[in-house]
Amino acid sequence: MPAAGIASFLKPAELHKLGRLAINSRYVVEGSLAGRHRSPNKGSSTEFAEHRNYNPGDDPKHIDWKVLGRTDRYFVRRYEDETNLRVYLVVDRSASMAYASEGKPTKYEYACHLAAAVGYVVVKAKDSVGLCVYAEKIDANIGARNSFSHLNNALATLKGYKPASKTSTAKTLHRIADSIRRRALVILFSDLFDEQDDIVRAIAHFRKLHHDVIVFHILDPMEVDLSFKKGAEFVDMETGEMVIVDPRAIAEDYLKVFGEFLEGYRKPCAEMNVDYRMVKTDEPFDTFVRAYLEERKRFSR
Amino acid sequence: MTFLSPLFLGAAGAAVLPLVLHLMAKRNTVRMNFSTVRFLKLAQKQSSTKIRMENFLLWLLRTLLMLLLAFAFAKPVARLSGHSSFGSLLGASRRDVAIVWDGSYSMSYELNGRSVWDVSKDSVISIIRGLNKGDRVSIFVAADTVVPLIGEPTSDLDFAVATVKAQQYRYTPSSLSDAALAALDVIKNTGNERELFIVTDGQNSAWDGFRTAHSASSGPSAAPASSPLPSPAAGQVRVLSTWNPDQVDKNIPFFVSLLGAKNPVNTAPLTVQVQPPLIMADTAPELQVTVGHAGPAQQNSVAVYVDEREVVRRSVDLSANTGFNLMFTIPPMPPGTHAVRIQTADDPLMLDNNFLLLLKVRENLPILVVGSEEDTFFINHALTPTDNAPIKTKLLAPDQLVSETLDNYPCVFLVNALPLPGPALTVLQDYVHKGGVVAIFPGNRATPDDYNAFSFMPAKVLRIEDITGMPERQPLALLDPLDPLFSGLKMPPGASPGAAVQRRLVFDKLDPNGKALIGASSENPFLVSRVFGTGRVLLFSVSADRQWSDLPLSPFFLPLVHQAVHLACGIGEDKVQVQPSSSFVLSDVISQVPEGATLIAPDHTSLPIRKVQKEGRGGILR
Repeated sequence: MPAAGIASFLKPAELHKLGRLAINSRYVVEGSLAGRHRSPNKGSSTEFAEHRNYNPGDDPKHIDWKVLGRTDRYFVRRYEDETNLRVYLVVDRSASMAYASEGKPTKYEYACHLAAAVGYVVVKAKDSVGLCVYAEKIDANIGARNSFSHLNNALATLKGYKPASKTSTAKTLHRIADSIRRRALVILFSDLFDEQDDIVRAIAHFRKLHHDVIVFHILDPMEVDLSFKKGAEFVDMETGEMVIVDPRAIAEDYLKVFGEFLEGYRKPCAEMNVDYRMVKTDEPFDTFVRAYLEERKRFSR
Repeated sequence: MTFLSPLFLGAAGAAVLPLVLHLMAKRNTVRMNFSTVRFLKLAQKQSSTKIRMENFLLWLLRTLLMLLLAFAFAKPVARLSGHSSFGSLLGASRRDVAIVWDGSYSMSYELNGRSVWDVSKDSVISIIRGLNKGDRVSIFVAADTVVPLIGEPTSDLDFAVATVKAQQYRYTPSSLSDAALAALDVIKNTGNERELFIVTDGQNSAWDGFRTAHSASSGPSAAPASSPLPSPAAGQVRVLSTWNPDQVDKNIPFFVSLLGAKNPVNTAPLTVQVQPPLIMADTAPELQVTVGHAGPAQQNSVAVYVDEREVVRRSVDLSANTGFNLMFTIPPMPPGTHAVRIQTADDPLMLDNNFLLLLKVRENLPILVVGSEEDTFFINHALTPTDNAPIKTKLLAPDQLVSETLDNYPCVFLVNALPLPGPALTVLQDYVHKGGVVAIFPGNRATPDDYNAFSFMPAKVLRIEDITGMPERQPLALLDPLDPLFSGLKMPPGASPGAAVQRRLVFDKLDPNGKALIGASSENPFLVSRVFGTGRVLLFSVSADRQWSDLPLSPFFLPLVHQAVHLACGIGEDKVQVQPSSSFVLSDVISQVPEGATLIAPDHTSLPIRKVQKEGRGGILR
């Protein structure tokens, strides 16, 4: 039974929908427990990996007798190891994540729900989940464990934070990358409103350390299409900077500029084999998670 | 190019509105949090040139729109010369212009040192001078009848200007609708471009004709006699008395020049009532004057002149836009006809400041009584109760009536005088028709047929009825107290009309022009009356002696007989009043008006006279 931490984000019906899903890493991962994910180590699974020269001390039961018969030399059969998956949920809580257009949740609320849904799927599949919350610096860093009580604690921590302060996504991501020792799946929930090149470099940092990375780019529909009806004086929620514009007059150029911004993430992520998804807060998160995981499962076969 | 409503050009100032609204809109922007303004700034930077250009074009468009609206509301009128190449290119055609010129007396209103008439004259001349060579003009003056100054369109514009310059304003109200229809009729089928100009001071009364159908029927167009207007031969004009928009060609544009004061100030005497109607040498007549006032509250004075000698003057405080009544008592005047003038103080419209009337003061009043001395005993004593009474009666036997000149008497009493010879009937009928009053008291000599032989009787006499038994005194009621016969009737204190009747005439149905004036308790009227021509007949149901009733002995008899005399004086005597903008038939006052006669007002100004043929009567109208 899920504990109260998950219940504050997910309703039973949503949990039921998500219960049968699983998230797979597209790369080998290093877990601490036996699981269904490929490990870089050789182990005791039935999946053949390679032959190795027999060394004194090796268990004779692994000697490949057929090869000995053909070559008259001793070789030992080695098998793939299978381990569990460690997933790190990295959630941005900068002030810009507090934005919500009329009738929509804030981007931070949406990110929390999304993280809870993913975390539930991970733990349900006996994998481990960890949590990082950041803005200008890492505010919370919870290691990966595979229990619901751990997930509850992590989500309770997440709920305790409110979006505030400026963002420093790139710098923080570098630190998080350095802090994760073993290969893992890192899922980033952010609006990515920071220096674009720095963030891309930070994502590359994860990839260099052989982490699998998923980027959920969370945006409000109003940020995407700028469909305001009247001109207004807009105040930047992070910097306090003000600008008077008539959105209808600049809509065309805004869509162009914002499209370039999105493309600035989509293209490098594709090159780095990073799964990039832009999510709008008017989309039901459980539907999105389900569709995404099924798609990921299909492509990973 | 000219503008019909140039005031609207001031509205061009509204062209700054778009700019003001734009600036106000910028100032009133709503503040709103947004996740990041980074992309807004970038987009704004890229769009700034385009936005600026769009804003400029929008401002330009809105400003031009405001200017265009102001321009359109100012009603520009551009005239293209038919001879200019541009005009020829556009196919400018000849125009037939009809001008309706308000000639009412209100056009004499003084405004800024000039009369509105003079201003309107300039306006008419400027319209004519604005025409091109080959254009034609016709001009109609709207007076109480339509006066065609230039009835047929003429292209001789200099002649038209000269004609206009020679005009003087009229002394009548104007009928703009008649003049407009007459003008439209003239340019109806000319084939050229047609335009109608109306030049008026825009007084309300002038426009009434455009709203309601009025019954004033105009005969053939007026034939001015001594006025400087040209003869009607200039154009026979069909004059329509009612305004009917369906008769108007919708393709003919109307241009109306409204001149004169927006809120005119005017005070004028409107009506005068004289009491008593019969003025003797020792009578101090009372004049009840109704004065109308338009404009703000002010102080004014009203003076009464008799034979141009001021006899009374009174100051009055006038409320804004109201009327009031004043009572003047003027001293007794010597016998003769006296010109009375009621004058209000000078104001911008001088023409209606004087109200003129004639008062005839009599030394004595001759009354003809026809009948025997015995029958007329009570009548004689009622008419001349004292030796020095102003009424002088002449007793005449019935057979002598034919040889008497009845015009010398305002009233004739027939006292048991019927039957009369045939010629006498004709003489009496002519007398009544021309304004005389005949009072008939029945008697024993006549039968019902003798009464019915008259064509002017108020009612047919059925029979002579004797009332059996002891005669009872019957109260008499005035059935129509407002009838002129009872005007000023004064009964002795404590007396009430009544009579004990023993014999009487029984009347059949009343003549359509007849009416019962005094009723008794029975259904049979006591006194019936009929208007015949301009005169009147009074027929009593009882005789003037004691044989039929005790009426001669009642206190009601003397005042009633005197009322008949007063009525006769009121009807038949000269009762000349000249109100502003009114006309009267001079031949009704003076039987023979010589050609070229001049009418001089009491203030020694000359009044215009013109010949008309109206309502079947030839005469001379002022």
